[in-house]
Amino acid sequence: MKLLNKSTLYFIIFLVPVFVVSWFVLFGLVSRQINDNADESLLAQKKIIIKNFIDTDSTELHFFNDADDDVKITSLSGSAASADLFSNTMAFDSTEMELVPFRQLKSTFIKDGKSFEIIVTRSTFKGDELAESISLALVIMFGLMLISVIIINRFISGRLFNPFYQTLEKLHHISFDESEPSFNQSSTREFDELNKALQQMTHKMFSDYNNQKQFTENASHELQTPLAVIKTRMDMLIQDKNLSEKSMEQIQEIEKSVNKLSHLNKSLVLLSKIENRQFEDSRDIDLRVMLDKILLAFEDDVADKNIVVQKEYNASPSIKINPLLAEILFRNLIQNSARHNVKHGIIKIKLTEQYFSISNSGESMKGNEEKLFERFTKFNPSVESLGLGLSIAKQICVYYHFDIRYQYLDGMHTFRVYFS
Amino acid sequence: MKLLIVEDELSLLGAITEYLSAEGYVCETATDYPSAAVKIADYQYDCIVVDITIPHGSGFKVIEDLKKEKSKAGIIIISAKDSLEDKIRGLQLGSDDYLTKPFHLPELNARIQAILRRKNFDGSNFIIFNEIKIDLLARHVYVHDHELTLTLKEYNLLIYFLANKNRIISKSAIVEHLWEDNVDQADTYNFLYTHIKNLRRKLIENGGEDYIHTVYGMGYNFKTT
Repeated sequence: MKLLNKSTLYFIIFLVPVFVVSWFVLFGLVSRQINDNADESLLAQKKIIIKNFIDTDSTELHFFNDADDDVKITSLSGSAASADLFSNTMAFDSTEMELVPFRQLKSTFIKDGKSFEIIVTRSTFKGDELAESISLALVIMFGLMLISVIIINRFISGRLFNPFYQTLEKLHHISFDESEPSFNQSSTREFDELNKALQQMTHKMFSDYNNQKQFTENASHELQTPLAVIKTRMDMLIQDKNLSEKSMEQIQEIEKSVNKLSHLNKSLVLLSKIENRQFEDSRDIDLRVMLDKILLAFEDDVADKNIVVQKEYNASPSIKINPLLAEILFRNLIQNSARHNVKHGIIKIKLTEQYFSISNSGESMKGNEEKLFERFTKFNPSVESLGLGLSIAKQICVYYHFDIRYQYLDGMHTFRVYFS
Repeated sequence: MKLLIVEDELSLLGAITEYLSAEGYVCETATDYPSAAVKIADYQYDCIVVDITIPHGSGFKVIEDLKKEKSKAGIIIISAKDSLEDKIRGLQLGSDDYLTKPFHLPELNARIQAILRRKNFDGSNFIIFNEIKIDLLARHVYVHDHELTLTLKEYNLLIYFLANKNRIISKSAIVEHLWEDNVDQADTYNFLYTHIKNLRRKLIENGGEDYIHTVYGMGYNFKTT
């Protein structure tokens, strides 16, 4: 939910009780005001009637009572002088055919030593009608406020939040193979501070990245060069005719280790390069051609163990991938299936639009599956391996958001790479 | 044949020069960009072996200079960086090959020979050695004009041996040449044995001499003397 929508929602939620309280306050105030007005006019009417009554000589009460429905004068037997008394009553209104509320004033006065009681009444407002009117007014106000809030929000998100959205857009598109982004200045202090902080952060990120990249390259370079010296010097050394067979054997053992070291160095540099996302050059690749080429390199392993290779290419998935990484990924998986296979085993390769899967016969790993993709994991010490192949494959999958899964079923190890 | 080797690591430079000189090449050396630039301007070379990271400049600059001079020299880059971008850049600038360090000297030698062959014979491309004749374009091998049926690995092996005659080549150098990065050491050493045995048998069966000798514990030697 957008920030502004969220704030609007909270605003509305808080507005509801405010309007309920307002309703009661308004209702109380308005009805009091109406009563006050009624009382005042009742008092004024009473005064006039009493004055008229006293001024006339007649004591015919019915004359007054008949003249006006709202006035009733009765003579009192005893002498009484009580104060004005207001009250609310209900009476039947013949025109509206229902009980309607009335305000009445009861008072006493004396004419010629005789006490009279006067009751003046006046129809007043109906409570439910007032409540209805107030509710209607409040609902209209609520609606107007809602509309204005929405309009204001649209304006805010269009104008005020514009720098924020611009910054967000830039953050989405940060890529290390492009130049460092620059965040605009904003007249809003908060956004300006945000942009400044982000600028500092991305600057640090880019320089760290470049340092790391530099380090990786330097480390590789610095290690490969002495290895190259060892290797070439050894090529020279073995030309010596005076070497004994024993020395030759020693040299070969050294050479094996040097090769291993060089391979290890290359693999570690590769892993860190993948993790640092230094492979940006992606292109369309025909996986079928690539898989056949890789399989060719393992024909000796296949022939040696009498492995049956079953290929099933249903489709060539259109994936964009760095060709070097693609080759490493599939080579590692194919190498794994050849290396850990058994005599007269099977390698099944399946390629569809959605996934690549490779299965090979072999013994179960006895519950070590979670460690499968970890670095330097070896399950079969007799097989010469660095234990990096699958973790590199995994890293490449992570890099391209492919989902790589492993399964062991009916004596078959299966790796499946889902392209997403 | 005259070669220029540009490499700042002196020990490596020494090994390369020693090996290639013994192959009959005249080798000149440079250890940084300025000295390489001077040599390029003053002399003609048949092939140049150049490292990318050299002091006071870069191997790419050396290649650019060569192209400006309209030099016909073959160019082979040797770099510690196994980077696709560098390979592409090198090829775009006009280099002929890219070899990642660490490499074996017989490998470098074989690649230089391949480049020189390509440069010097346009159209037809043959390797002829005594009774053995290889048509590189058609990939046919003849011994005394009998055509041999070789597998791809046997064919590559033969060319590699012919490039490094009378040299002891370690098994690991041959394995790297035949399988490149797909090295599965323990097994490939056995596979190599089979391929060499088959190649040797096919050469002898067709009347060829037995050139390939096993050097115990170490590797093989294609002996012609």
